Amino acid sequence: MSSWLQASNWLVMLPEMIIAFFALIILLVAAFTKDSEAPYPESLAITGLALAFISSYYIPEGVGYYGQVAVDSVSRTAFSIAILGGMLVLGVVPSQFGTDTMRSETSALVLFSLCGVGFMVTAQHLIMLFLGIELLSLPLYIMAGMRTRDPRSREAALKYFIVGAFASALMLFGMAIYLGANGDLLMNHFALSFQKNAVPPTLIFFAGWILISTAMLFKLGAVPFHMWVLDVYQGSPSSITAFMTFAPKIAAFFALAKMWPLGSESGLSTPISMMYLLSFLTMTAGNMMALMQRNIKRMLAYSSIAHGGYMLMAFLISGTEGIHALLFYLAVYALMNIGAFTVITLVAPSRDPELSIISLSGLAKTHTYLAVALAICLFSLTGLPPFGGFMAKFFLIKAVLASGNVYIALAAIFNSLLSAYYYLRVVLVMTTREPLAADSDELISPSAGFTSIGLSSRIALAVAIIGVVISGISPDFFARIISL
Amino acid sequence: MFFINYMPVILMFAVAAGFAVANVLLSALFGPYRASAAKMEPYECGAHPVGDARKPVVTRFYRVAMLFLLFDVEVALMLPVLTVYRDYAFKWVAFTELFLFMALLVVGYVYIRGRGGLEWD
Amino acid sequence: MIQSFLSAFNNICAVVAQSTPSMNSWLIVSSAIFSIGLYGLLTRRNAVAVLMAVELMLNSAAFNFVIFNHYCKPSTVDGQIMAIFIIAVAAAEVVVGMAIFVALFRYKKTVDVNEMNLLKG
Repeated sequence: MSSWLQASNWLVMLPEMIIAFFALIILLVAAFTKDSEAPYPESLAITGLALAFISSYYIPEGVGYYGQVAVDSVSRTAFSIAILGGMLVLGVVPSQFGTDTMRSETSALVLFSLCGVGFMVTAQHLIMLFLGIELLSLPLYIMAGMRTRDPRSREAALKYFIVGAFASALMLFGMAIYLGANGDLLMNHFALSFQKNAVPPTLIFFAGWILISTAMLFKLGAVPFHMWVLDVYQGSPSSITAFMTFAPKIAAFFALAKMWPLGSESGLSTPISMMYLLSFLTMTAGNMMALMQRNIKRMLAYSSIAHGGYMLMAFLISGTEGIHALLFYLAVYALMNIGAFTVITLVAPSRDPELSIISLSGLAKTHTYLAVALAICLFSLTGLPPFGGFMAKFFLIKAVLASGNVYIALAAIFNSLLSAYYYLRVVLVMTTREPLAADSDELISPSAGFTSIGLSSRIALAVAIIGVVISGISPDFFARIISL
Repeated sequence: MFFINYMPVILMFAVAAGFAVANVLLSALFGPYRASAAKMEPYECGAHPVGDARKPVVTRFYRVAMLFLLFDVEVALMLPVLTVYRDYAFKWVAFTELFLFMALLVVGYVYIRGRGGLEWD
Repeated sequence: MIQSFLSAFNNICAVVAQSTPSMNSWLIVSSAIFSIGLYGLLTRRNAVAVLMAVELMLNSAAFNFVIFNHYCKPSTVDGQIMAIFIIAVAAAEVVVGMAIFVALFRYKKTVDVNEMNLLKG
């Protein structure tokens, strides 16, 4: 038995196992209780995530499960960010779904999805990567359609499902070609083939590599593969959209980091110029199209595409500096999006279901605190100095400049300036316009909206905003929190 | 003889076919026979055999079919364990893992029953 | 008589076994399946047909895994294990997809993907 422990070293998967265990417990509890009397499944889920987060402190780094997974500081940090973000999202879920629908299922599905993130960031074998991406995506397809009374939500689920299934079919075909090129499915062939003095990879290897990378780019919504993002983000329940903005991105970025040569370390020019083009297209197209959006969730969807473009710049940097900047960026980005979508979740019931930007007019008068929170998130998304978004962009662009890619860094800076227009327009609408007629009865006190919302989403929103502010004021302290 | 290599497969076919035929015969010989209108229909599955074939099926059928498919195909994951089981160094671990996998499926089943997934109305 | 039948069967088996096609012919088959699936995915309007097309693509990938495993490295079973995982995961995917389609059908009374036009900017 002890030799089996040594051979398998399954302790490296302990956080994932804890999360899956709690998800199953939630399902069992849901089987024996009615929806209306469910004893807060979210609290059970958050407990599980907290245990998994603590356990990830103590698990050993190294290879486990017969070489299927490997835990290092980067994958551990990425997974911790996803876990913390998942805890915040679970805090918002109750005010989205009310008291009687699908809360146990949503909690369990969020946990399963996070389990998939864990598999993807630690995978060392393509079977693990495949299982991880499916475990991440299948719950997301369901959760996109979770707002049962809204046909838009179901349509979003259908679109997400079809595109996701297509992407995983492409990825599987690529993996089969990879097997033909290398003889096995270990992921270290990527790193070996892209070494400086390695034999140049064969064409068949490139074909497999491109197909697998394409699936990852689908998941993170890079520009030629981004069309699903808008409809899915718009139609899904807002709290689930917050989860969708960061969980698949974290997983896809760190799976991609294992199969893509970072910067000029490979000596090949093709991957670099491809990533240059992808990053430029993603950030520019995302920002350009966000300019003309009237729906706030579509606007934030385009903004998340643009941020994906900034983050893709990290692949142009050799060494670990780019990866560390990417981790910081993803953490701040998750907090900003959770904050923004939480505010949208909370104000949505009193506004029009289409959630146009105009419907937020006068929010500063009717819901002062929510308006301030949304404004902080939008300032941070723009990249204005006292907030985390600025530091994230600063670290990333500094590293890009240090690696010698001046033009893409300039493009990122210009894109940030451009993005100020559509982010700040929302702030203007909130502050300068008069409240809509439907809201006037809420004009009792500035904190009217704040008292009517659930305690847990209040806490989640506060934590997200505090995180955004702290990461801007004291990035070292913030980095220490997230990197354990 | 080349053919002898396929003996286990052919035996498998024979046993499977024999089992099916024996069951049908035994139930025909010894089972009680109580006819009713629903039982006498050509397809004893709840769908009307006469009429337009292109009308939509009640969605409840889909639910049962989907759940069946899920549990049916997940058993395929046991196959690889069984093929290497005899030569595997940590037999009891593999055995335990198989039962753990079954336990996961049972949790799914309990959830479906608890949420009324198999109730018809 | 049985003896002669068995020997004839034996001969057929031996001939089939000796004339195994090369890897390229297998790959052509699997690429053809993949292309049919891709064509169906892009042209079909019924969501269930789109799902079937995706299944074709997944199965051609599984087929490819087995082919490459057999011809490139017969001593290992990576590709065959992967094929089993694909079968199991594809079943889960079908179940999720069909559940979404049924939910959508109850509201829209159609699963035509061209009718999905509620979400736009």
